[in-house]
Amino acid sequence: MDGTGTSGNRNTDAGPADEAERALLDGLCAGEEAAFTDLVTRYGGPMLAVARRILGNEEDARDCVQDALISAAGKIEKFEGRSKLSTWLHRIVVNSALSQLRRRARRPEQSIEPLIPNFDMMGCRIELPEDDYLSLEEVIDKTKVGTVVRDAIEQLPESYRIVLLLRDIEEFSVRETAELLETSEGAIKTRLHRARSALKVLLEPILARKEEQ
Amino acid sequence: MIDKISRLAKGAMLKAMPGHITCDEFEGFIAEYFEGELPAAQRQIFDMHLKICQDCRAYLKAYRNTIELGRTAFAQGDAPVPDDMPHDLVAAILDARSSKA
Repeated sequence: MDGTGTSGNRNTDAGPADEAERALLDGLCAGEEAAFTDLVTRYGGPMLAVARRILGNEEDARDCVQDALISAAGKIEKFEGRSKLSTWLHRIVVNSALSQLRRRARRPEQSIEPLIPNFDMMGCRIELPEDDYLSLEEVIDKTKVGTVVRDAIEQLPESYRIVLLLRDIEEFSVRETAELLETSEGAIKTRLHRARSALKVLLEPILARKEEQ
Repeated sequence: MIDKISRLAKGAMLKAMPGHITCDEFEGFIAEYFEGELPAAQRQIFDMHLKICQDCRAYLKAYRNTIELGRTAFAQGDAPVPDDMPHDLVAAILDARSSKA
């Protein structure tokens, strides 16, 4: 395995609906209130977490989950059970969050250029010495990474932040990410690489030994 | 100053050596590498560059850790559903379904 180890994509390798999901689906198709309560109780939390990650705002996230669940409930009869219900709902809530983002008043996007790699006139990389970088375990052991990393991701320009979230955090494939954002796979790969490069620069204070000591 | 001169010398050497790439050309391979889609011939060139370029090794180490840190930061359990959410939501879903029917 080279690269990121992202082969375990939760959106493509999830199997078909299991027996419990089938029973729930039967209840939903029959319009049983208990089944809808079960749907919300079981999947509302994970869907809310996805919406929070994309929208970064509790109120918007709740609206998004409500829209997504209403949309899912409205087309539940069309769900064929070839994937897990959670996978299907995941895609619906992501689509709902992306629609909400598109509706938001667009702020002018900051340039990512100051955060992308530097090269000298001969095309050589200008980089910290290899030994200055801590191992992943050292970074995680010595730093409370959660808040620092989430804040750094928030600092990325919106169009880069979304690609990074969809590919690296929500684990959609490049093709799925391109479909969700209605662009080409090539554009997604380029944008993802620049987003990761920029995030690396933003995280250098915790990634590197020099700054950490 | 010495770093700058040695980098320039490295760049000149890489440009002159057949089958080698510079760091900015290496940069162009990274996205495909992380998707596991780098063709074999390019993968060989990529690996060869990594063997001789400690700056790109350092960069790749930090880049890989960045991806993993992103995952780690969001890997905590999902937040619970707020207490008032199920009732409101179920009511909204049922309303929407009945108005559609």
